[in-house]
Amino acid sequence: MNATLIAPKSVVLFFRSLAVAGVGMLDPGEWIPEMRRMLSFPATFPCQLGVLPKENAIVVVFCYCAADRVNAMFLRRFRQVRLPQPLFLRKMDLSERRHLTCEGHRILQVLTRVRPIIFIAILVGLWQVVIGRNPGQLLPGPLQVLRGMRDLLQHGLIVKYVVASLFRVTWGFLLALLTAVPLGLAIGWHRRAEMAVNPLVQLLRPISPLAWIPIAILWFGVGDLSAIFLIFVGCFFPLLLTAMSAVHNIPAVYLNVGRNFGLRPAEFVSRVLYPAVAPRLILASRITLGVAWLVVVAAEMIAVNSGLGFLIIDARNAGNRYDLVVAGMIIIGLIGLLLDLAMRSLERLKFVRWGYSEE
Amino acid sequence: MAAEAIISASSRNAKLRMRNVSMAFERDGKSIPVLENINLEISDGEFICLVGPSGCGKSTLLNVMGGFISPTRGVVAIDGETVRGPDPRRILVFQDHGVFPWLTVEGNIEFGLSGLSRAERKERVAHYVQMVRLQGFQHTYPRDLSGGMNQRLQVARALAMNPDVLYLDEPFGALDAITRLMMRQELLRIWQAERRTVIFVTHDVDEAVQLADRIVVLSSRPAKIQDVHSVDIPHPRNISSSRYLEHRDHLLTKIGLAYSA
Repeated sequence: MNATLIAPKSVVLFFRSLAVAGVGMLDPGEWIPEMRRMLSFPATFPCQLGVLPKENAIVVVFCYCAADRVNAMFLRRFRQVRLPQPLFLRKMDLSERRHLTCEGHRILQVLTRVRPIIFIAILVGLWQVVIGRNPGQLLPGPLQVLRGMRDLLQHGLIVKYVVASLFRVTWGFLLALLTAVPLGLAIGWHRRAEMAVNPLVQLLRPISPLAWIPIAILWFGVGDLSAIFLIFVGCFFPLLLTAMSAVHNIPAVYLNVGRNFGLRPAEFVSRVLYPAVAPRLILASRITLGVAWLVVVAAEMIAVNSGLGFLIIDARNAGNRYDLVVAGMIIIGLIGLLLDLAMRSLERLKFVRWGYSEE
Repeated sequence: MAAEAIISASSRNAKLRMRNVSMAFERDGKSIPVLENINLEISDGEFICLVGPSGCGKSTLLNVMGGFISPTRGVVAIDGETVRGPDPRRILVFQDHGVFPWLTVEGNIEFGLSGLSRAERKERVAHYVQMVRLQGFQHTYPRDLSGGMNQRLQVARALAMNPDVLYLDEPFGALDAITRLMMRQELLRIWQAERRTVIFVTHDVDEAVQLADRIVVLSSRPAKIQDVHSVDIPHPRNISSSRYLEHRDHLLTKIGLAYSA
C-alpha cells in the first residue's frame, strides 16, 4: 500500500466540511439515494480494492457529494433544469445544452478550450513529479527545460535558430510549390507526358529526402543552400503527384463549361484549372509543409551550423545539455503546430470551402 | 410524317442544320455506333425537344451539336458555318453540377462576360439575377443554394452570354416534381421574352409536350430520328385539354415503338 495515496488530514477535513455543506443543501428525501449512487463511483474503487483504508470510502463519497453540489450550485445559475448526474463526470447531451443560458454556453465554450491545456498541465505536473522522484539521467524535468529555454532566450538563440529554420523551410517549400504545381498540372493534363514521367516520379518519390544529404553537401556544400535543397526535394514529389492526380479529378463538366465560354488558354488555366484543383492543393500543401518541417530538423543536424536541428545535436554533443535538447524539441513542436494552423486557415477561404466536406 | 416536318422546317431559314451526322465510339477496339444518319434542321427561335429512351444518345447528339464531340461522319452547321468546337455563342446547360462551386452566384453569371465593361457586366448580372429570381443571393456560393437554385443559376449564366442557341441537357432531371414544374414555366417565360433557339433534351414526354414547338423522337441505340412531331398548341398549354392529351398519346406510342425497336 502506498502511503502517499492517502489524502493528508487537512485535505480530508476540508472536503468533509464541504461535504457537510453540500449535503445540507440537498432535500432530505434526495440525499440518501444520491449517496448510494455516489458509492458506485470509480473514485471509491481504491477503497474497495484495499489501496485506501475502507473507512476512507465514506470520505471520498462525501467529497464527491460536496464537489457535485458545488458544481451543481455553480451551474444552476446558468441552467433552468436540474442535473440528473454530476456534470463533471460526463458530457452534456443536446437536450441539456438547449436549456443552457447564454452565460452557461460561454462557460462551456471556455471549458472546451481550457480542457486540453489542463490535460497538458497535468502531464507536465506528472513529469515533474516523476523526475523529482527519480533524479537520474533519464530526462530533464520541465523546470530544467524552462530554465534551458530561458538561457536560450537570453543568448538570443531561440529567435536566431527559429528564423534560420523557417527561412530554409520557406524557401525550400516555396520553390517546390512554384515548380511542382505548374509542372504537375501540365503533366497531368497531357496524358502522354504523364505516362512517360510517372514511372520516374514513382521511383524517386520513395527515396527519403535524407538520403539526398550527401549529394546535397557535394553540390551545395555545408550551408543554407543544401538544407533548402533537401526541403525542396522532400516537398517536390508529393506536390507534383498531388497536382497530377488533382487534374484527373476535375469533373469533366467544369472543363466543358470552361471550353464553352470561349476562354483563352491562359484564362482557362487561371479561371478553371487552378480554382478546380485549389482545395486539393491546399490540403497537400498543408501536409507537405509538415514534411518540410520534419526534414529541416534532420537536415540541420548534418548539413548546417544553425537552426533548431543544429541546436538539438549541438546541445547534445557540446555538453550533454539534454534540457536544451528537450527545449529544442518543444519549440519545434510549437512552430510545427503554428505552421499547420496557418495552413489550415487557408482551408476556410470561401472559394475553396466547397472542396472539403461539411464539418 | 418525319420527312414532311423536315421539309416544312427547311422552307424557313434554318438556324442549325445537321446533314448525315453519324457518331461511333471506340471501345476496346470495337466501334459502337451511337448516332446514325441524323438529318435535322432547326429554325431560328424554335424550341426543340429531343426525346428518346434512356441511353439512346440524346446527350451525345446534343454534345455533337454543341461542338463538344465531333461526329464520325456528317456535318453540323449553324448559320451556314460548320461547327468545329464549343463556341460562346452557343451555351450548353448541363444536367447538374454545372455551376462553378468556387464562384458566387454573381461570379458564375459574369464568368463569360470578361469582355464587357464593368458597368455593363454589372447591369447584365443584375438583369439575369432578377430573371431567374435569385435576388439576395448574389454573394452566395453554390454549396449554400438548393439544387433548383443552382440549375436556375446555370441557366442565368448561359443566358447572360446572350447566346443564339441554348442547349439544355435534361436540366431539370435531378429536381423534384414541383421545382421542375416551376423551372419549366420560368424557362418558357424567358424563352418567350428573349426568343432564342432552344434545344432541350429530356426523357419526360410531358415535359416535351409542355415546352416544345417540335419534338424529335429518337430511337434506341444507335439513335435515328424516329419522328419529328410539331406541337401547335399556343402557350400557356392546358395540360388537361384533349389536344394536349392527343399529342402526348401520339408521342408515347412513338416512343413505345422506339423502346421496342
